[in-house]
Amino acid sequence: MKYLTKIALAIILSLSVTLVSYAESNDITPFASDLTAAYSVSINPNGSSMTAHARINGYSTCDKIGYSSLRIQEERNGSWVTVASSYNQYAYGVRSFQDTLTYSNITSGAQYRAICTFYIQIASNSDSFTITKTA
Amino acid sequence: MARKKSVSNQSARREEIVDYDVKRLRQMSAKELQDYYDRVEPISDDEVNAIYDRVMPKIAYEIASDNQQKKPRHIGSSIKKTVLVAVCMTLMLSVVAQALGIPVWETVVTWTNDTFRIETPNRKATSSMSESFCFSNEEMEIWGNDVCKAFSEIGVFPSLPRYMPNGFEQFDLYYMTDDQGYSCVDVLYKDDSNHFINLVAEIYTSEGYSYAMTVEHDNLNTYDITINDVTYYFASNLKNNTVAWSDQNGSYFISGNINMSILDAMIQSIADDF
Repeated sequence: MKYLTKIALAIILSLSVTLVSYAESNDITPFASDLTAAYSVSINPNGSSMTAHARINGYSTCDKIGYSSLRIQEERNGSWVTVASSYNQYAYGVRSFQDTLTYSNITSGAQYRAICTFYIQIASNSDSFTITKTA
Repeated sequence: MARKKSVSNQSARREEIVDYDVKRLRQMSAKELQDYYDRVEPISDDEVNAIYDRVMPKIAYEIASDNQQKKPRHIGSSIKKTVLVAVCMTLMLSVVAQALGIPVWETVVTWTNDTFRIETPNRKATSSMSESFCFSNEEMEIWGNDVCKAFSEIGVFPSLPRYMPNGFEQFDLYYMTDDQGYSCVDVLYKDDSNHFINLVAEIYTSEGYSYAMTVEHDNLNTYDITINDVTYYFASNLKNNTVAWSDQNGSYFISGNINMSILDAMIQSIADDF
């Protein structure tokens, strides 16, 4: 009986690790967009630098597409602090937009994440989305 | 009575002698013992060897059995067994979950009412590079030389659909690769009826990338299919439909203002190769 209890506890622990990472990534957008096909963000530690890529794709040619902010943040004492940022980058008359942001002074062992708030507009119809990804 | 007394005396005398001998024998060295027994009952070397051959295996067995019984129980063995069983059962649960269309470990897919998100788990490096080294003739015919050349320059050869409805022509192609190991291919096809098909691939060839892609949907028609261990997620979004998947170090999607059945047929055509 004790052996079964140990197995059960070990399984619960293993599943918890999965579910924690699953829950951590759960961003909820308030409503679907008929303008946007998909948007993405990635983050990559490369030597002493951290690079974030952000991309958004519209279904058709957009009057305005891009982001209001793209940031790389570092976790310090339990809070996320912006260490690199770019604001209000847009393209006009295109279907998609992408950009790269690099932070070249990373602290060894620190936790980083990329966070981007996209914006897309066709005529008077517009949408905004925020996506986060932790390295 | 006298007889009985005599026997009793003899017995007592013998015990005295035995006690004396035992005491004396205990005080003897090995050499003295050997000399003593040789004197009392001479024994040849052959007899000694015969006794040795007969007795030693038994002694060896007894010693081994004794050691085994006395061997302390390995404290970690039960823990290892427990962990092993737990890991096996967890992996089995993962396999079952994958069979149900819920990817575990490799990529995480999160559905909400209006989006789904494909991403690498946090702190997980991307997996190995593509196992393919070229496109098939059918893929090149469907997607065109320019697109195949773009993927070739990036060095990744994903399994692409081998079917696209007639009448679609390449309208726009954008691709790039940077020195950070990030590449992107974005190609648009259109037909005369203003239908479009858009393939976008974001590929991460550097170890350590974490990525997340969110796809919009209206929650009216969503499902997934798995072909060759890759799960393809279909989602309608008003007048457009999208299929997205994660494979070979990247995220991919095809969207268009085409019927879901066409997207489905395109993805099913990937299986024709297998």
